[in-house]
Amino acid sequence: MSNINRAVAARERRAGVDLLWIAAVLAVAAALARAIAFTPIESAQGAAQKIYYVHVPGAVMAFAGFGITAVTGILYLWLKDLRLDRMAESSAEVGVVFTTVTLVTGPIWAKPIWGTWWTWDARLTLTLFLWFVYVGYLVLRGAIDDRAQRARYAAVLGGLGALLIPFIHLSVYMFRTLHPMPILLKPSAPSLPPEMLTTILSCLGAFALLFGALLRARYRLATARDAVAEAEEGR
Amino acid sequence: MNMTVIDTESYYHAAYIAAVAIYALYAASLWWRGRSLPRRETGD
Repeated sequence: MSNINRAVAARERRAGVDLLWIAAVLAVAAALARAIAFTPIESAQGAAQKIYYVHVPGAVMAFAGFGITAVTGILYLWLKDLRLDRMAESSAEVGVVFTTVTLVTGPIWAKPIWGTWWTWDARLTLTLFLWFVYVGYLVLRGAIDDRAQRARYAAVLGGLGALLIPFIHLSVYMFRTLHPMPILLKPSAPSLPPEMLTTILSCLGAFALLFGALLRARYRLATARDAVAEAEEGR
Repeated sequence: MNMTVIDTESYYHAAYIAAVAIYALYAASLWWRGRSLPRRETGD
């Protein structure tokens, strides 16, 4: 095994046990335990309202991920630093995972409340488009061999894709939609009872930690992959 | 007043299981890709 492979293997072993992972897993477990066992059931929707505690953090962290992709991609175009491209790639992939959770849990919540799994409502449709844009971003990256060209094209797509985010957030104000108005992320005070507000804030904090742990692990993977590729090119 | 709460528990359980499964599968995929990277890329 070459030196570079030993270094990659050692880094992967170190990444196996780390405090951020432990904190993220414990925080998510505690936040979900609070949501399941210590948060009251909403009277109109019943237990399905508790889907809120995984659905909303999924959407918020997805937006954060794609925002990071856009910012680091634009910075890459300026500074040409491949670390920025690796961060953009990593946050796009993690953002796709969080969007997937939002798109899966949303219909499961919609079925008992709206009577349908899916409707072509502005917010749902734009969120699905956002998912397609960033899946396309990842496919595009896989299709281009030249590293600089791949980073440049991806930066443009990653930046443009993030323009959907404000439209998604404002879609409930701009269009007639089945999706409820924000009850947390809005200009006035959150319209939630205190126990539910504490639970959603705990879940947002816990899933932010999970997002950080996944993003760091994905970034390390991208760094290790590039180190191996560079070693191969140098042979 | 006696208020009846509608039974939507199975949906709530399904959503939590789906969310945890997606995050766990992705974390496992990162671990797997990291583990197999040197061997796959270099063939040693």
